[in-house]
Amino acid sequence: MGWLSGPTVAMILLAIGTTALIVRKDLVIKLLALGLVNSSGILFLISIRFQPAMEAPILPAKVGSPIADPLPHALVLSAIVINFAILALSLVFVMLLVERYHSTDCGRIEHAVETEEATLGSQNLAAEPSGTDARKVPR
Amino acid sequence: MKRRVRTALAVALSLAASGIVIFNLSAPDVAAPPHDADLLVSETGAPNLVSAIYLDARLYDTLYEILVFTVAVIGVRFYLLRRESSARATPIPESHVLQASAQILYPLTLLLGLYLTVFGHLSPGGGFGGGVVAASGLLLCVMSIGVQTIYRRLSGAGIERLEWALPMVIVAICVAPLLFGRPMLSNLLPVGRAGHVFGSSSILLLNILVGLKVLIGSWMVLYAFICHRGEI
Repeated sequence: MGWLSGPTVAMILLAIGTTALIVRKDLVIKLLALGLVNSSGILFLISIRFQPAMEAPILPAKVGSPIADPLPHALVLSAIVINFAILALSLVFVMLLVERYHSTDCGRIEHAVETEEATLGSQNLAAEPSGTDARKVPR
Repeated sequence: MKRRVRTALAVALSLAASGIVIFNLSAPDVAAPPHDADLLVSETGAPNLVSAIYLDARLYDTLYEILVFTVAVIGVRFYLLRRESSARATPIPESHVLQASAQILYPLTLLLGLYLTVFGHLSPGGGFGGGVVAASGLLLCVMSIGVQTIYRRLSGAGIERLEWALPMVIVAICVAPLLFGRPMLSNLLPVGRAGHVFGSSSILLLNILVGLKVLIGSWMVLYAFICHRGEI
Protein backbone atom coordinates (compact mmCIF):
# COMPACT_ATOMS: atom_id res chain seq x y z
CA MET A 1 0.00 0.00 0.00
CA GLY A 2 2.96 2.30 -0.40
CA TRP A 3 1.41 4.03 -3.39
CA LEU A 4 -1.64 5.10 -1.39
CA SER A 5 -0.08 8.30 -0.08
CA GLY A 6 -1.75 11.60 0.75
CA PRO A 7 -1.04 13.32 -2.59
CA THR A 8 -2.41 10.31 -4.50
CA VAL A 9 -5.66 10.29 -2.54
CA ALA A 10 -5.85 14.06 -2.99
CA MET A 11 -5.51 13.71 -6.75
CA ILE A 12 -8.20 11.01 -6.87
CA LEU A 13 -10.51 13.32 -4.92
CA LEU A 14 -9.60 16.13 -7.31
CA ALA A 15 -10.50 13.91 -10.28
CA ILE A 16 -13.88 12.98 -8.75
CA GLY A 17 -14.60 16.60 -7.80
CA THR A 18 -13.64 18.05 -11.18
CA THR A 19 -15.67 15.46 -13.06
CA ALA A 20 -18.74 16.13 -10.93
CA LEU A 21 -18.19 19.88 -11.25
CA ILE A 22 -18.25 19.69 -15.04
CA VAL A 23 -20.74 16.91 -15.68
CA ARG A 24 -23.49 17.43 -13.10
CA LYS A 25 -25.91 20.24 -13.83
CA ASP A 26 -27.44 20.80 -10.41
CA LEU A 27 -25.97 23.90 -8.78
CA VAL A 28 -26.04 22.42 -5.24
CA ILE A 29 -24.20 19.31 -6.41
CA LYS A 30 -21.73 21.60 -8.15
CA LEU A 31 -21.11 23.31 -4.81
CA LEU A 32 -20.59 19.93 -3.11
CA ALA A 33 -18.10 19.00 -5.83
CA LEU A 34 -16.34 22.31 -5.27
CA GLY A 35 -16.07 21.39 -1.59
CA LEU A 36 -14.49 18.08 -2.60
CA VAL A 37 -11.94 19.89 -4.78
CA ASN A 38 -11.21 22.23 -1.88
CA SER A 39 -10.68 19.32 0.52
CA SER A 40 -8.39 17.65 -1.99
CA GLY A 41 -6.30 20.82 -2.12
CA ILE A 42 -6.05 20.89 1.67
CA LEU A 43 -5.14 17.20 1.86
CA PHE A 44 -2.55 17.63 -0.88
CA LEU A 45 -0.83 20.55 0.81
CA ILE A 46 -0.73 19.06 4.30
CA SER A 47 0.49 15.65 3.13
CA ILE A 48 3.06 16.73 0.56
CA ARG A 49 5.80 17.29 3.15
CA PHE A 50 4.82 14.55 5.57
CA GLN A 51 5.80 10.95 6.15
CA PRO A 52 4.19 8.52 8.60
CA ALA A 53 7.14 8.50 11.02
CA MET A 54 7.04 12.26 11.52
CA GLU A 55 5.95 14.22 14.59
CA ALA A 56 3.58 17.18 14.60
CA PRO A 57 5.43 20.48 14.21
CA ILE A 58 5.15 21.44 17.88
CA LEU A 59 8.41 21.80 19.79
CA PRO A 60 9.89 20.18 21.76
CA ALA A 61 9.42 17.07 19.65
CA LYS A 62 10.73 13.64 20.58
CA VAL A 63 14.50 13.49 20.25
CA GLY A 64 15.65 12.05 16.97
CA SER A 65 12.28 11.99 15.24
CA PRO A 66 11.84 14.43 12.36
CA ILE A 67 8.99 16.93 12.45
CA ALA A 68 6.66 17.69 9.55
CA ASP A 69 7.20 20.89 7.61
CA PRO A 70 4.89 23.47 9.24
CA LEU A 71 4.78 25.88 6.29
CA PRO A 72 2.11 24.09 4.17
CA HIS A 73 0.05 23.55 7.34
CA ALA A 74 0.12 27.27 8.03
CA LEU A 75 -0.86 28.00 4.44
CA VAL A 76 -4.01 25.88 4.49
CA LEU A 77 -5.08 26.47 8.09
CA SER A 78 -7.38 29.40 7.47
CA ALA A 79 -8.61 27.85 4.21
CA ILE A 80 -11.10 25.86 6.28
CA VAL A 81 -12.83 28.98 7.57
CA ILE A 82 -12.63 30.70 4.18
CA ASN A 83 -14.14 27.54 2.68
CA PHE A 84 -17.12 27.83 5.02
CA ALA A 85 -17.62 31.53 4.24
CA ILE A 86 -17.38 31.07 0.47
CA LEU A 87 -19.77 28.10 0.60
CA ALA A 88 -22.28 30.22 2.52
CA LEU A 89 -21.97 33.07 0.03
CA SER A 90 -22.41 30.82 -3.01
CA LEU A 91 -25.38 29.08 -1.37
CA VAL A 92 -26.98 32.51 -0.96
CA PHE A 93 -26.49 33.16 -4.68
CA VAL A 94 -28.02 29.76 -5.49
CA MET A 95 -30.97 30.65 -3.24
CA LEU A 96 -31.46 33.93 -5.11
CA LEU A 97 -31.44 32.08 -8.44
CA VAL A 98 -33.88 29.45 -7.16
CA GLU A 99 -36.22 32.10 -5.85
CA ARG A 100 -36.34 33.72 -9.25
CA TYR A 101 -36.18 30.81 -11.70
CA HIS A 102 -37.52 27.98 -9.47
CA SER A 103 -34.80 25.52 -10.48
CA THR A 104 -31.29 24.53 -9.46
CA ASP A 105 -30.52 23.11 -12.89
CA CYS A 106 -27.99 25.41 -14.53
CA GLY A 107 -29.14 24.50 -18.04
CA ARG A 108 -32.71 25.50 -17.26
CA ILE A 109 -31.58 28.72 -15.59
CA GLU A 110 -29.45 29.63 -18.61
CA HIS A 111 -32.37 28.91 -20.92
CA ALA A 112 -34.71 31.05 -18.79
CA VAL A 113 -32.24 33.93 -18.74
CA GLU A 114 -31.80 33.73 -22.51
CA THR A 115 -35.53 33.77 -23.26
CA GLU A 116 -36.00 36.58 -20.75
CA GLU A 117 -33.31 38.67 -22.40
CA ALA A 118 -34.64 37.93 -25.87
CA THR A 119 -38.18 39.03 -24.99
CA LEU A 120 -36.90 42.09 -23.15
CA GLY A 121 -34.62 43.01 -26.04
CA SER A 122 -37.43 42.85 -28.59
CA GLN A 123 -39.71 44.86 -26.29
CA ASN A 124 -37.09 47.52 -25.80
CA LEU A 125 -36.35 47.67 -29.51
CA ALA A 126 -40.04 48.27 -30.17
CA ALA A 127 -40.59 50.76 -27.35
CA GLU A 128 -37.41 52.81 -27.16
CA PRO A 129 -34.62 52.46 -29.67
CA SER A 130 -31.92 53.64 -27.25
CA GLY A 131 -32.27 50.52 -25.15
CA THR A 132 -30.14 51.81 -22.31
CA ASP A 133 -31.66 49.52 -19.72
CA ALA A 134 -32.19 46.43 -21.83
CA ARG A 135 -30.48 44.36 -19.16
CA LYS A 136 -32.59 45.69 -16.33
CA VAL A 137 -35.13 43.02 -15.50
CA PRO A 138 -38.17 43.85 -13.36
CA ARG A 139 -38.58 41.54 -10.38
CA MET B 1 -23.01 13.75 -27.34
CA LYS B 2 -21.95 17.09 -25.91
CA ARG B 3 -22.30 15.70 -22.43
CA ARG B 4 -20.19 12.70 -23.27
CA VAL B 5 -17.45 14.91 -24.71
CA ARG B 6 -17.43 17.01 -21.59
CA THR B 7 -17.25 13.92 -19.40
CA ALA B 8 -14.37 12.51 -21.36
CA LEU B 9 -12.55 15.83 -21.20
CA ALA B 10 -13.01 16.09 -17.46
CA VAL B 11 -11.87 12.54 -16.77
CA ALA B 12 -8.87 12.88 -19.07
CA LEU B 13 -7.77 16.16 -17.51
CA SER B 14 -8.15 14.81 -13.99
CA LEU B 15 -6.33 11.60 -14.78
CA ALA B 16 -3.52 13.55 -16.41
CA ALA B 17 -3.17 15.69 -13.30
CA SER B 18 -3.23 12.59 -11.08
CA GLY B 19 -0.65 10.85 -13.21
CA ILE B 20 1.73 13.78 -13.10
CA VAL B 21 1.52 14.04 -9.36
CA ILE B 22 1.71 10.31 -8.67
CA PHE B 23 4.81 9.89 -10.79
CA ASN B 24 6.57 13.05 -9.69
CA LEU B 25 5.61 13.59 -6.09
CA SER B 26 4.85 10.19 -4.63
CA ALA B 27 8.28 10.12 -2.95
CA PRO B 28 9.06 13.67 -1.79
CA ASP B 29 12.37 14.26 -0.03
CA VAL B 30 10.86 14.83 3.37
CA ALA B 31 13.86 13.63 5.34
CA ALA B 32 15.13 17.15 5.90
CA PRO B 33 13.48 18.87 8.88
CA PRO B 34 13.08 22.65 8.86
CA HIS B 35 16.47 23.92 9.99
CA ASP B 36 15.27 27.20 11.43
CA ALA B 37 12.58 25.74 13.69
CA ASP B 38 14.44 26.57 16.91
CA LEU B 39 15.16 30.09 15.68
CA LEU B 40 11.47 30.65 14.91
CA VAL B 41 10.47 29.42 18.37
CA SER B 42 13.00 31.63 20.14
CA GLU B 43 11.93 34.65 18.07
CA THR B 44 8.20 34.25 18.60
CA GLY B 45 7.98 32.31 21.87
CA ALA B 46 5.39 29.93 20.40
CA PRO B 47 6.28 26.21 20.39
CA ASN B 48 3.53 25.51 17.86
CA LEU B 49 5.42 26.25 14.65
CA VAL B 50 2.23 26.57 12.60
CA SER B 51 1.00 29.36 14.88
CA ALA B 52 4.41 30.98 14.81
CA ILE B 53 4.28 31.05 11.02
CA TYR B 54 0.73 32.18 10.37
CA LEU B 55 0.49 34.75 13.15
CA ASP B 56 4.03 36.10 13.08
CA ALA B 57 6.22 35.29 10.12
CA ARG B 58 3.40 35.25 7.54
CA LEU B 59 0.92 37.57 9.28
CA TYR B 60 0.39 39.35 5.95
CA ASP B 61 -1.39 36.28 4.51
CA THR B 62 -3.53 35.88 7.60
CA LEU B 63 -4.53 39.55 7.51
CA TYR B 64 -5.94 39.16 4.02
CA GLU B 65 -7.60 35.87 4.89
CA ILE B 66 -9.44 37.67 7.70
CA LEU B 67 -10.47 40.37 5.24
CA VAL B 68 -11.74 37.75 2.76
CA PHE B 69 -13.81 36.19 5.55
CA THR B 70 -15.19 39.61 6.50
CA VAL B 71 -16.19 40.35 2.92
CA ALA B 72 -17.92 36.97 2.56
CA VAL B 73 -19.89 37.52 5.78
CA ILE B 74 -20.90 41.01 4.61
CA GLY B 75 -22.06 39.50 1.32
CA VAL B 76 -24.16 36.80 3.00
CA ARG B 77 -25.83 39.32 5.29
CA PHE B 78 -26.39 41.83 2.50
CA TYR B 79 -28.09 39.41 0.14
CA LEU B 80 -29.97 37.32 2.69
CA LEU B 81 -31.25 39.84 5.22
CA ARG B 82 -32.16 42.66 2.82
CA ARG B 83 -34.77 40.59 1.04
CA GLU B 84 -38.45 40.93 1.81
CA SER B 85 -39.18 37.25 2.36
CA SER B 86 -36.37 36.80 4.90
CA ALA B 87 -38.31 38.05 7.91
CA ARG B 88 -41.41 36.00 7.11
CA ALA B 89 -40.27 32.56 8.25
CA THR B 90 -41.71 31.78 11.68
CA PRO B 91 -39.33 29.94 14.02
CA ILE B 92 -40.06 26.23 14.50
CA PRO B 93 -39.04 24.84 17.92
CA GLU B 94 -36.70 21.86 18.07
CA SER B 95 -37.74 18.48 19.46
CA HIS B 96 -37.37 17.90 23.21
CA VAL B 97 -34.66 15.26 22.79
CA LEU B 98 -32.52 17.64 20.76
CA GLN B 99 -33.14 20.50 23.18
CA ALA B 100 -32.13 18.43 26.20
CA SER B 101 -28.98 16.99 24.64
CA ALA B 102 -27.91 20.34 23.18
CA GLN B 103 -28.26 21.83 26.64
CA ILE B 104 -25.67 19.39 27.95
CA LEU B 105 -23.33 19.79 25.00
CA TYR B 106 -23.17 23.53 24.43
CA PRO B 107 -21.17 24.62 27.51
CA LEU B 108 -18.57 21.94 26.78
CA THR B 109 -18.29 22.97 23.14
CA LEU B 110 -17.96 26.66 23.99
CA LEU B 111 -15.30 25.81 26.57
CA LEU B 112 -13.41 23.66 24.05
CA GLY B 113 -13.49 26.55 21.57
CA LEU B 114 -12.09 28.90 24.22
CA TYR B 115 -9.37 26.39 25.10
CA LEU B 116 -8.35 25.88 21.47
CA THR B 117 -8.17 29.65 20.96
CA VAL B 118 -6.22 30.58 24.09
CA PHE B 119 -3.76 27.68 23.93
CA GLY B 120 -3.41 27.87 20.15
CA HIS B 121 0.28 28.77 20.29
CA LEU B 122 1.15 25.88 22.62
CA SER B 123 -0.86 22.97 21.26
CA PRO B 124 -2.90 22.13 18.17
CA GLY B 125 -5.62 24.71 17.67
CA GLY B 126 -5.64 28.42 17.10
CA GLY B 127 -8.04 31.24 16.43
CA PHE B 128 -9.59 29.89 13.25
CA GLY B 129 -10.31 26.40 14.53
CA GLY B 130 -11.30 27.57 18.00
CA GLY B 131 -13.67 30.17 16.54
CA VAL B 132 -15.42 27.55 14.43
CA VAL B 133 -15.74 25.17 17.41
CA ALA B 134 -17.18 27.99 19.54
CA ALA B 135 -19.61 28.82 16.73
CA SER B 136 -20.83 25.20 16.75
CA GLY B 137 -21.29 25.61 20.50
CA LEU B 138 -23.37 28.71 19.85
CA LEU B 139 -25.44 26.73 17.34
CA LEU B 140 -26.12 24.06 19.99
CA CYS B 141 -27.04 26.88 22.38
CA VAL B 142 -29.53 28.16 19.78
CA MET B 143 -30.99 24.65 19.50
CA SER B 144 -31.59 24.42 23.23
CA ILE B 145 -32.70 27.98 24.04
CA GLY B 146 -34.14 29.44 20.84
CA VAL B 147 -32.93 31.74 18.08
CA GLN B 148 -34.59 35.00 19.01
CA THR B 149 -33.57 34.85 22.70
CA ILE B 150 -29.91 34.32 21.81
CA TYR B 151 -30.09 36.98 19.11
CA ARG B 152 -31.54 39.55 21.52
CA ARG B 153 -28.91 38.79 24.15
CA LEU B 154 -26.01 38.98 21.70
CA SER B 155 -27.32 42.16 20.09
CA GLY B 156 -27.71 43.66 23.54
CA ALA B 157 -24.02 42.92 24.05
CA GLY B 158 -23.20 44.97 20.93
CA ILE B 159 -22.09 42.04 18.79
CA GLU B 160 -22.74 43.88 15.52
CA ARG B 161 -20.47 46.78 16.42
CA LEU B 162 -17.84 44.24 17.52
CA GLU B 163 -18.15 42.52 14.15
CA TRP B 164 -17.18 45.71 12.31
CA ALA B 165 -14.61 46.77 14.91
CA LEU B 166 -12.60 43.53 15.04
CA PRO B 167 -11.13 43.62 11.49
CA MET B 168 -10.17 47.24 12.09
CA VAL B 169 -8.45 46.32 15.36
CA ILE B 170 -6.54 43.53 13.60
CA VAL B 171 -5.50 45.89 10.79
CA ALA B 172 -4.48 48.48 13.40
CA ILE B 173 -2.32 45.90 15.18
CA CYS B 174 -0.65 45.09 11.87
CA VAL B 175 -0.01 48.76 11.03
CA ALA B 176 0.84 49.98 14.55
CA PRO B 177 4.58 49.13 14.37
CA LEU B 178 4.97 51.88 11.75
CA LEU B 179 4.27 54.44 14.49
CA PHE B 180 7.22 53.14 16.47
CA GLY B 181 9.58 53.22 13.51
CA ARG B 182 9.49 49.45 13.02
CA PRO B 183 8.53 47.62 9.82
CA MET B 184 4.87 46.80 9.32
CA LEU B 185 3.54 43.53 10.84
CA SER B 186 6.46 43.25 13.26
CA ASN B 187 5.93 42.08 16.81
CA LEU B 188 5.62 44.90 19.36
CA LEU B 189 4.76 42.95 22.48
CA PRO B 190 7.53 41.33 24.55
CA VAL B 191 8.51 37.73 23.89
CA GLY B 192 8.71 35.66 27.07
CA ARG B 193 9.63 32.10 27.86
CA ALA B 194 8.65 29.70 25.09
CA GLY B 195 6.04 27.18 26.20
CA HIS B 196 4.38 29.55 28.66
CA VAL B 197 0.84 30.82 28.02
CA PHE B 198 1.98 34.45 28.12
CA GLY B 199 5.28 33.55 26.47
CA SER B 200 4.23 35.19 23.21
CA SER B 201 1.64 37.83 23.98
CA SER B 202 1.20 39.05 20.41
CA ILE B 203 0.28 35.60 19.09
CA LEU B 204 -2.05 35.07 22.07
CA LEU B 205 -3.75 38.44 21.42
CA LEU B 206 -4.09 37.80 17.69
CA ASN B 207 -5.42 34.29 18.33
CA ILE B 208 -8.12 35.65 20.63
CA LEU B 209 -9.05 38.41 18.17
CA VAL B 210 -9.18 36.00 15.22
CA GLY B 211 -11.21 33.51 17.27
CA LEU B 212 -13.73 36.21 18.22
CA LYS B 213 -13.90 37.39 14.62
CA VAL B 214 -14.54 33.89 13.29
CA LEU B 215 -17.09 33.20 16.05
CA ILE B 216 -19.05 36.39 15.37
CA GLY B 217 -18.81 36.05 11.59
CA SER B 218 -20.04 32.44 11.70
CA TRP B 219 -22.87 33.46 14.03
CA MET B 220 -23.91 36.19 11.57
CA VAL B 221 -23.99 33.70 8.70
CA LEU B 222 -25.87 31.11 10.77
CA TYR B 223 -28.38 33.69 11.98
CA ALA B 224 -29.05 34.88 8.44
CA PHE B 225 -29.72 31.32 7.27
CA ILE B 226 -31.82 30.43 10.35
CA CYS B 227 -33.95 33.56 9.86
CA HIS B 228 -34.49 32.66 6.25
CA ARG B 229 -35.46 29.07 6.94
CA GLY B 230 -37.26 29.32 10.27
CA GLU B 231 -35.38 26.36 11.77
CA ILE B 232 -31.84 25.06 11.96
